[in-house]
Amino acid sequence: MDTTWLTKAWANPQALSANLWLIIALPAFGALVCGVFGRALGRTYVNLVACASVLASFCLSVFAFQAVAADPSVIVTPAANGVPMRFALSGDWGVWFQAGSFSAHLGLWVDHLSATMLMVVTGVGFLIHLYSTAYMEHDAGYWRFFAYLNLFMASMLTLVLADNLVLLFVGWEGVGLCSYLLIGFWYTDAANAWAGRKAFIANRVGDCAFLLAMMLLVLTVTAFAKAPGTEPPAVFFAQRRAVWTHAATSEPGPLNFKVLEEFAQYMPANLAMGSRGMLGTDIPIGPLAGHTYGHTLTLVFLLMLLGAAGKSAQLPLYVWLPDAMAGPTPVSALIHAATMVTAGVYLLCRMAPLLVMSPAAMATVAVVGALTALYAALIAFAQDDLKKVLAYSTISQLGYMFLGVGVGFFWGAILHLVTHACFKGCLFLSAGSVMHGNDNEVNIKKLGGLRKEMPWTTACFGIATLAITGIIPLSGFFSKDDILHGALHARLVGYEWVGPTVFAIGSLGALCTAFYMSRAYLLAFTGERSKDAKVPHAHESGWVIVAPLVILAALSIALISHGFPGLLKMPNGEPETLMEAFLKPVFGVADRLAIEAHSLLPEAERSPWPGFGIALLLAWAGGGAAWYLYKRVFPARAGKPAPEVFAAVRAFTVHKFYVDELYDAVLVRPIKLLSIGLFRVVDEGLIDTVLVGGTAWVTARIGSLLRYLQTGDVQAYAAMMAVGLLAGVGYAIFEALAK
Amino acid sequence: MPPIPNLTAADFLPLWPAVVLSLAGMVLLLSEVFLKATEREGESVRTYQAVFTVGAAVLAGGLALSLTFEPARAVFLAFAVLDPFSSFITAVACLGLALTALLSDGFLRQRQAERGEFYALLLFATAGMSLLALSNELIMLFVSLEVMSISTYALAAYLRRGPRPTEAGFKYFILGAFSSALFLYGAALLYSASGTTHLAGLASELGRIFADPSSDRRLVVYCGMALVAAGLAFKVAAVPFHMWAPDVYEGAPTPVTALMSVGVKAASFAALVRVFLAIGRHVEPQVPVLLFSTLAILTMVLGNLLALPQRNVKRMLAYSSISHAGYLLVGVTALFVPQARAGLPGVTVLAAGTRADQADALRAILFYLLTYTVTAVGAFGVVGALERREDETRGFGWDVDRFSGLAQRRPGWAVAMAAFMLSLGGIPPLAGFMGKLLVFRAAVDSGLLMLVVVGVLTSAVGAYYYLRVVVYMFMRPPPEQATLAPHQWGTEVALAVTAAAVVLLGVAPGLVTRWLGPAGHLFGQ
Repeated sequence: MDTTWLTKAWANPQALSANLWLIIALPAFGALVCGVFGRALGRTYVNLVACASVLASFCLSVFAFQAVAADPSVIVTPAANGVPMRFALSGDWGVWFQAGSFSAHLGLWVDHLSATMLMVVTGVGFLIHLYSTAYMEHDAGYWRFFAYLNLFMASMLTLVLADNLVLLFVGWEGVGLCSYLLIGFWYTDAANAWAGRKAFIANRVGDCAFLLAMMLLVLTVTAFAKAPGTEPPAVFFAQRRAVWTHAATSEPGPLNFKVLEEFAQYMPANLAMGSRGMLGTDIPIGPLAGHTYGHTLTLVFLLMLLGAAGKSAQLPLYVWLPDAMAGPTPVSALIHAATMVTAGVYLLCRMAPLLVMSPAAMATVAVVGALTALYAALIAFAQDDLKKVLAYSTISQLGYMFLGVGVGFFWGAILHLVTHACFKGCLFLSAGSVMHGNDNEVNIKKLGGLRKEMPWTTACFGIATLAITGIIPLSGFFSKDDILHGALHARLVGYEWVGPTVFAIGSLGALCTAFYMSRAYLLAFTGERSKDAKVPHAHESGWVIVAPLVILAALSIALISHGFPGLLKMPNGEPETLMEAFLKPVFGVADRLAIEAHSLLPEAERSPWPGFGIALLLAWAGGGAAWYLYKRVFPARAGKPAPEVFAAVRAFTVHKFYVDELYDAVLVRPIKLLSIGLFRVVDEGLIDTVLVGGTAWVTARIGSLLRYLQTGDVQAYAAMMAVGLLAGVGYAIFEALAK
Repeated sequence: MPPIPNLTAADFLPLWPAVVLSLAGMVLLLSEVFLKATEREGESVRTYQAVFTVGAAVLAGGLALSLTFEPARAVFLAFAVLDPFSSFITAVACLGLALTALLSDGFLRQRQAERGEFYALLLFATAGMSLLALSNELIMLFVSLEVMSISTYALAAYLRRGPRPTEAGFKYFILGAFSSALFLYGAALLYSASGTTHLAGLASELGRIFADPSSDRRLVVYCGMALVAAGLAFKVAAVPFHMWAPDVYEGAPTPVTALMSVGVKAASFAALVRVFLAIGRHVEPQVPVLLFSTLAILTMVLGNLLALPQRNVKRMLAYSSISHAGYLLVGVTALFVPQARAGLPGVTVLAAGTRADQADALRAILFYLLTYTVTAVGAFGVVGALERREDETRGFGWDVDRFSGLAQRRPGWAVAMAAFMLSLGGIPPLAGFMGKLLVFRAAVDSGLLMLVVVGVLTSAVGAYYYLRVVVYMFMRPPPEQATLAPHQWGTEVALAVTAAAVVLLGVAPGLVTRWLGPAGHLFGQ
């Protein structure tokens, strides 16, 4: 069979590079049309514009993905200077802004990582747009909804395509804004508006840390570039490593990803000489002088982790995500499961070459991820709201991704990101379908028996549940267990305990996942229809809703190919997964740097199969326990009060470990009191009344008094001039005689 | 008797704009006699006069701009100079003239006061400004000053109905004569100390006087300086020589007020800068710094404070004009700061300022004058367009109430006026902001932090009364019996041009700053 067409780019890469902006501009244009003319255009045209713009964006993304993926030169080949070739589409539209020696470009690029993200964002995004046309068909604010949704797509694509942190931050803030707007979409209900606000504020805390991280990074990179003795080669700022570049321009600025990567690559070579090791070298100049590179980088990444935790709902900033379920369900699927919340994972993976320089930060990321994975899974145990279960599950799964990043298993994190987007998208959309067919009922105890009434939805939810629990080997099984396997064998220098610990916590979390997901499925879909159901009979949704479910469910199965171990062989004969090979051009650098920097040492490759066996066992155990409890024990005990142990545990988990209450007491209330006090005393009293009002009053009085000088009398005017003149002459005499 | 000097055609080059303007003025005067006005609907229409004036102004301005490419040199036996600085000032004055003529056409027609002498006087005044900008000798300077001033005295009293114009003209004349006398006396003292009236000769002679510590002529020089400064400070309306300005600005016909606030101010600043760069740089450096920073602070503070209670927009703009003279004086002060960055004006005295600092300050002053010209003419244009004849004698014709609801009645005017007000207030991205930015930057570079702090604080005060107009235009309902003057093409064109310029100069100041490059050096300094 002739397969050459597969290994050639379908579209001229040069032309693609020059038109990357269209991928963002199309949804942005859609947002503009829907937002400004939406009400006048009517439902049909709004649906058309919104979906078509995302579909067009998706098609362009496919071409971009194919162009990046198809080229045979993808394999990492060390260039003459030891810098491996990266393969990317890259467009640069000149300097965006400049301040002193700092500059940021309007640059976009598509490498293997952003290509993967592109496919997820536009693919899942399009399906959810399609789904929404049916889901929102009775909502009067449909045009507003699609305007926000398209705006979200544009922001998310900016985040993914940006070739520097500053532009990424624009997308980062943009998705935050859209998330806020969409959570509070039904803003007439105050609770929804509050939920939006909570999400926004939690995100702002993270964003603040992210900004600080960026500033520190700028200082570090600039100091490195200017430091005597560590003079990097000319290639450092000037040369861009893209094979296809549109309008490559001058110095791309210190926050450009390629510059950061090269910075990471020149660090070992330049700093290894120091007696305290590479990262113990002091920064010689600039405001950070005296601190070591290692400490600075650790601080940068701890701050960045806080930023990522805000966006990706990790401990301690996860609290907003469950409340975010107040938004329409397609929003929960798109923003709060598939795309936006993974931005933190994407960010940390983007920074991989630098991140591996700091074992301390890596360890923190891994521990935060593992704890979140377990903790959220525990809370999900007792949630009765289907969407809340899925929300905690999302937090938990994002925890696995962070865990993967933290143990240097970047491709595993990205693979889990992709599979999670498919199966969690599918789960949320199924939940939406359930709500659609049951008059917006979300309490799983009041559903039940949907298997007969909603067969398609049930099947898709079931497949996705299997995928997330890993009861049988679907995509989620391999992606999650690849991460756990990686964790077990990762050795963070100085933090050797981290690998096994997070493996243990993660495995426990997997057990819990299997339990609560099976519980949700069993309660909502199997058994008899609940007596408390809002409607006596549910109805299956139309094909516009079902089709995306089916596609996502199918993808949840198909993506197994990318995580299945041993499909490929590395040159040295070791097995390699498809995803690992695909992302090697991106993460190969980080892997090599981790060894060079002596921060993360991989152990000899072991067979993953025993680990998979354990994981499968855990999944079966969790699922079986759920089945036993909810199918055998509880139905038999119906009507009787629950045993005290269960009741106590349940009370604790239902209230989400009282974290919201804790935050309220420790943070929210004191700050609120303080700000009310400040507002009353300082703002209203001192600033408004005394400073602002008082200054204005005094100034106005002086002005009014001075008016009396202006008598209209010419003699008085002349006299005033004479006074001025006398003062001048008097001073002249004084000056002259003083000598 | 001295031999008749051998003048060449090149000596006359810098005079061309003034020649064009003067000839145009004479033609207009004669045209009154020979041309019969077109009758239309029983009224005589003399639009050709305004058109002719605009044409002459454009021609003269174009000539002036082309002269900025000429190498700087002294002409007429060093009585005058040809340098980019003077040419640019002439161009700004011509721009002010053209815009004023456009505004005047409709304004005068409504008052049935179109006569050739009005435009002729405008032209003569502008010719005087052009000559003032290039004078390099005290007597020549004085004559030019009087050419400009006498024309404006007459213009201020041009509308003879009611007491206000007469009062304005008379006050202006009396006090102007007073200030001319001060200037002349100062010039005489300087002559007595140095034996020359040429600025170049004066400069070298002063250098000699102050190099000699035992010289007894310092007192005479300082007194002469104070008197000359007082005379010129009157022209630029710096506090405490500003008292005439509100009364005269209010009483004069509004287009004339516009020209007085921009053209007269620009030419007077040119003279001030030229005279004091000649004499001020050779005396003890702290003297001119203290002199001008005192004037600047007084002018900024009092100008803004006095504008604050004004409900009369025309009078408010008069005070605003005073305060802008204060900001310009900040730039002038920066010209004289010694190179060592004095924390406070006049504290540290070291070598004289570098040419680069001085050039920046000069360019900033020129740019400021340009931005102020377009903004102030536009603002006075709107004020004039809203005036009604019947209110004039009663004195509340310019109450801020007249602007109520303008956004609904004349949205174009309201938007333009808002742009002018915000620009005057120095709010980005409009022209006034860029002007202030450049002047304040020059001052900061010279270490005049104190002046800049005062400048910024008083600008904040200014925002209050500028924004009041905007509030009235956009947030108050229009009055019941609101009658507005019909559209006048000249006014509309002038407002469109100034509003566009206000935005353009703020957004893309580079368009003009390119021209300013060589204007940063005065010939012979």
